Amino acid sequence: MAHVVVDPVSRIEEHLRIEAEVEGGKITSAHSSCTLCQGLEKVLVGRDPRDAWAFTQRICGVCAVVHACASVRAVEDALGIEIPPLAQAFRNLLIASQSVRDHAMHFYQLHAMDWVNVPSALRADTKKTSELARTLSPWPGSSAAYFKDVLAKLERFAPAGRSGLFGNAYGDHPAYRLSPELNLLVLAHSLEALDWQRDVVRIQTLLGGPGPHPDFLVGGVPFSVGATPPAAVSAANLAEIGSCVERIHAFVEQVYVPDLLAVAGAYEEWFSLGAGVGNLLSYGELPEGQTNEASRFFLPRGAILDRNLSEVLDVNPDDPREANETQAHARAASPRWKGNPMEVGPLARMLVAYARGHAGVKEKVDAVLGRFRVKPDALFSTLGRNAARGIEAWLLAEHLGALHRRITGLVEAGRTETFQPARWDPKSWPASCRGVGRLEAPRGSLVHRAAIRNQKIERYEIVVPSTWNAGPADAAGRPGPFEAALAGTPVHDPREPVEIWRTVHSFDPCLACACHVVGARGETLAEVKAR
Amino acid sequence: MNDRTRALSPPARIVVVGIGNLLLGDDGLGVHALWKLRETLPDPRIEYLDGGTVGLGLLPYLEDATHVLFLDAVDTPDGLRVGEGMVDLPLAGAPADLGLRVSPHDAGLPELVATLRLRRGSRPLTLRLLGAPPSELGVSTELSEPAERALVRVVGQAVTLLRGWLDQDLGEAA
Repeated sequence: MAHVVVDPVSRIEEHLRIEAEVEGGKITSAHSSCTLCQGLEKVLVGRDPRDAWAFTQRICGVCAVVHACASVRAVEDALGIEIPPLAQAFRNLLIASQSVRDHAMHFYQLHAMDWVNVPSALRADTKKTSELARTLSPWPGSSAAYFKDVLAKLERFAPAGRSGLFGNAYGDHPAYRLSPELNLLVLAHSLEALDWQRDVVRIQTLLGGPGPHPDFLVGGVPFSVGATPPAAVSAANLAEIGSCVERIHAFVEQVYVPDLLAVAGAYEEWFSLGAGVGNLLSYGELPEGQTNEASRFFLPRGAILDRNLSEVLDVNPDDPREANETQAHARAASPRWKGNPMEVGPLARMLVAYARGHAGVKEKVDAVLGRFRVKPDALFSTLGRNAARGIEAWLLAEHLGALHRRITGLVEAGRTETFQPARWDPKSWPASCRGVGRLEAPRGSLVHRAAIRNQKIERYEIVVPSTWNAGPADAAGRPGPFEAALAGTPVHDPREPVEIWRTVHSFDPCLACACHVVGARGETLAEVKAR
Repeated sequence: MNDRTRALSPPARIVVVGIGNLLLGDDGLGVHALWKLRETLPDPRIEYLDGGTVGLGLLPYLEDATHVLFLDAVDTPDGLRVGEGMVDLPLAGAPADLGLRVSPHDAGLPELVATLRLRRGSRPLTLRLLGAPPSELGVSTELSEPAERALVRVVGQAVTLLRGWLDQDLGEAA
């Protein structure tokens, strides 16, 4: 029996730690623990609630939009503020574009390397790669010369015996099955994805300001809109956003989704591995009416238990008897919904939507199921989680177009209010009040809770998606989603557990960006010259 | 608010990036240093970027730069005498492995540097890291006293470095 410990290369100990017992070539049990966002809330106590978003945004640089948005929602809920429809649409555009970007980047920068063999890519025949590319997609970057160029770049940065840029520590591990050409194709697209994200960044720049931390505003969005100066977002800007949206969509539809399906095709047994707890939770997202009007969310709210897709349970997030979301400061507790461990994230959102009959989701999910000739139940798996993430990116990439049209429609109709001033002045606030801001972030359900007293934050609490997914077994011994998903996973070599990474990565776990001090010790990229 | 209509590309050729988590005490040293430096040397030829913990999301902001100065808290090897507590690293060597293990959140400076170099290919790119060892990493938006002192040295060194870059003939650097 082998005991495998998987701990991220992180400067914070036990931020996320997984221990697995491997016996007979399979994981027999797994234990996960994580300590996320602990104590970060205390920097908010005593501050003006209207500034809270600028601090919560700093919890995570990858998720700067979602932590800011959840914060303003919490404060707006506490103060009873309803934001104008145009502001809601702009926020939806930011949330949706962030999710699309995050899903694609997660695949290309990280998860693809669990399935793609980098050394093999370096042996690819570029002519065959070109032919393969053209059978998979009409995407233009597909000539043999282009792939030759990519190879040259990769060879320069992946010297023999090292994995180079892509950190594929497992090299020619037998768990890798793709042809050299498909390996090269995916790596080429990984590089293209780095270019592609600029369009998402451009949208964030136009709507949130010039740096990578977009500005938010309690009561609306922090810019005005109009066809003529001095409006901060002009008609030309809106048109540019429209072009960005088209390019974002094209890449997802013609590159990310085809690559995902091509890769999945070589690993179909992973539709039977990594099932998890079989319980899914989504608070719903992308409000088309008021922020808390769940019946008008583009992505519906709901829960599924025991893989039963014929019954979607209603979720009342304000009922404390339903959900125990209290942050597990004593690592022993985990969030539970009606006593059940729940998985959150794209799989939860897509299957809740599917089970609720959402036409757009149904079409895409059924297409993927048909391609692999599996039933919806197969999506409760490592590969299913990947498929759901890709489907959600595809769906939201299309929805960006609808959001853009909604925005231009409101502007043309003259409904250009972007800020509700009625409760901006603290003198209009009650002596004390409380609010909750929920948001379906790329990785799952995020909650911010704010208590305001005498115009300052008295208490603040944050529960991040990975707290649901990575939480340990509860007192009743029921495993959390990670733990349940890992049980039964075959492991070829406990010293190179790429199979564990496949399932863990399929959840796209958050780590608070926390402490990431550059380590000069052992750096190979620089000579240390201290002065 | 800064000018929203400024195009993302091409950015200024000299970019200073402050890196770190502002909620974790001295981990935020790089960002505090950035703000201080921006006040001290407000030259329109220098672009100042609050990079936080954005990681690879910084790439679109750096792609057309010819010189990038990173400011960050820096761990130093045991036994290394850092003299006045500052670290100055030219980032000229071969890129490190992309050490992502659990999440894109893992991507830090080495990964960013490696990716930048990969994408720049043979076009000239000067990268430098200035920083200081952190003393206190608890939950706080303030720097510790040692870090405050180190910040002064870091900013001073950065000004010298940047003035040197500005004095070079940037027209030849591309």
